[in-house]
Amino acid sequence: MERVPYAKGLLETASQTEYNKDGVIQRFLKNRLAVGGMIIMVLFAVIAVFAPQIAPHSFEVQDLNNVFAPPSSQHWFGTDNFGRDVFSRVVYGARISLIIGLISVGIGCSVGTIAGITAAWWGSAVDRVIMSIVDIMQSIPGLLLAVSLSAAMGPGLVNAMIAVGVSSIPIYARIVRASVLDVRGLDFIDAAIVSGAGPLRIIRRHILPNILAPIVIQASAGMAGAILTAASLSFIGLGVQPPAAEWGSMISAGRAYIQNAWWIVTFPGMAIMLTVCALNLLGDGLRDALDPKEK
Amino acid sequence: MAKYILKRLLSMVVVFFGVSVLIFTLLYFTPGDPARMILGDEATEEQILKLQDELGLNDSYIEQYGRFIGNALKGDLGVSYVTGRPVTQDILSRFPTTIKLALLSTLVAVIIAIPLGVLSAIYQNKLIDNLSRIIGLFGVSMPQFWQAILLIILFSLQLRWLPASGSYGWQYWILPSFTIGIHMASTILRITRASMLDTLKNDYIMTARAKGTKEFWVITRHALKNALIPIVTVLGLRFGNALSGSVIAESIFALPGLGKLIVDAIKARDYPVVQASVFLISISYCVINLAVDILYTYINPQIKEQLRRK
Repeated sequence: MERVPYAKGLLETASQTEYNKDGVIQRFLKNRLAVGGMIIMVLFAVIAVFAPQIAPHSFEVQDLNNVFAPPSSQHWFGTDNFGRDVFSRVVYGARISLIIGLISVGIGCSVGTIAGITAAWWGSAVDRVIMSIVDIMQSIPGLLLAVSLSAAMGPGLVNAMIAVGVSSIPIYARIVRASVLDVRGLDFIDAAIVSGAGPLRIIRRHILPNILAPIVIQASAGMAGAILTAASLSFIGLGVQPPAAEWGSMISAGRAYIQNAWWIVTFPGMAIMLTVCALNLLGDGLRDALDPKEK
Repeated sequence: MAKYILKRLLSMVVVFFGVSVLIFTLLYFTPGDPARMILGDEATEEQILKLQDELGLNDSYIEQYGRFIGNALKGDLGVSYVTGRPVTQDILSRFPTTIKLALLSTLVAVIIAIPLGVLSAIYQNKLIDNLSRIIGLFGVSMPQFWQAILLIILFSLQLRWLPASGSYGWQYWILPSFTIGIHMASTILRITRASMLDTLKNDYIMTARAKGTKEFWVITRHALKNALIPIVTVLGLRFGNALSGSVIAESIFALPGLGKLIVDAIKARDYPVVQASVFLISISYCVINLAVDILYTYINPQIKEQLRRK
């Protein structure tokens, strides 16, 4: 089919009108809390990347002559039951937590987006089947779904990422489906259909850019949740296994010694809290900046 | 109205069926031979083959699922690999503890969140509002297991006010309920604040004030009563989180509920117990959500009207 010039002109202007993209950065930068959250996350990323340079000690070398040493200038966060430097372990832990966060959000986000778009675009029976699966997955409370998935797959870093990622698919699928249904009814989509664009092209060129905002907002809040869930899995012995320096499993191992060595559980917990806090602030800031009418 | 409830009940049956398929499939693909696990290391090859046959482990997926759902409908959720006892009895005897913990946590959350959320909305952007937003942010960001340990360090080890583990009286429930409750409170706080801010903008609030109604009654009778609708919905949804939060809280505080049973069973690789417990919690979660939805249509006359017109 030959392209209709009018529709083509409409396409170029209309696909930019849905979300108010102008001033997103300015609006975001005005929000001090969100900027604070972003700075903390950048800092964590730097710590994760340069962990070997930043950590003063190895995260796995034991020093049995120096167990349960309280925080000092030598060991900022003290040492654990094997004499390992808690500060260095917390630094290396940033790596594992950020990787878990990124990959499990990647899994949940990509599968959820494909499922959501498929459900909304093709509708009827496809929609009903996909949404029933989503309903079923959502009727198992979040943490429990991750727990039963990783119990079935066995412990380990990769399985934990898959379990956390898969259990977050429903939320992305729902958000994407709702957003696509919103966008679908707009004129520029009709125009694109009339001008002969195929479904894949329409989805890639016109739908995806317009539903990006809700996905980004959910992804940053979702990463906070993913890090928390993964740490909980390690805590109950399902996720990352010792001796890896993972914050959740460090707390789990330090639990036995809280009577006289509070530092083993306190610092990894603070690291989790700070990361999750920063991601939540970042997510809130992104929502306010990308979607001012929601405020 | 009756039609709506019937429709919801029917869709719930579909969801139950789906959850059972999902949970059975997870168990089916879990590595390890159940017969070998039940009999232990000393069993002979012959005994294992015999038990495999008895349990029907050599049948196809469909046949095994058919037997699983058939038995589940009769109330039989399988046999524990560790104790060899029927799972159903064990999980049912522990269920009340989990429900009690979830209810107490919800109570803690409501007591913290609703007054604080209301004050936050009345004094928007003032000190108390900022304070409650900080509390809310920390509440959602703290890992529950870490928060539980901090509570133990403070209240059990330092102050020696409350016991750290076991269940021998009411004081044993305080720390676990606060562990889950504080986390729940943060979300409810946010909704309460937003909903109150919305409600306070309405004309009828101004009218009530203009008529000289005392401010306390304006807030409670006129505003809060109307602001409660979204709060109740979120409470229902959060109840599911309270149920799954029991996994962490019960195992830290050694409360003998389903959550602790799940964690112990995972450690012992006793998968039928894990799956049956998850199944029971999911079913109760669905039932509670349905109950909230139905309750919701009763509290909210607008929805009732919509349904009537349909």
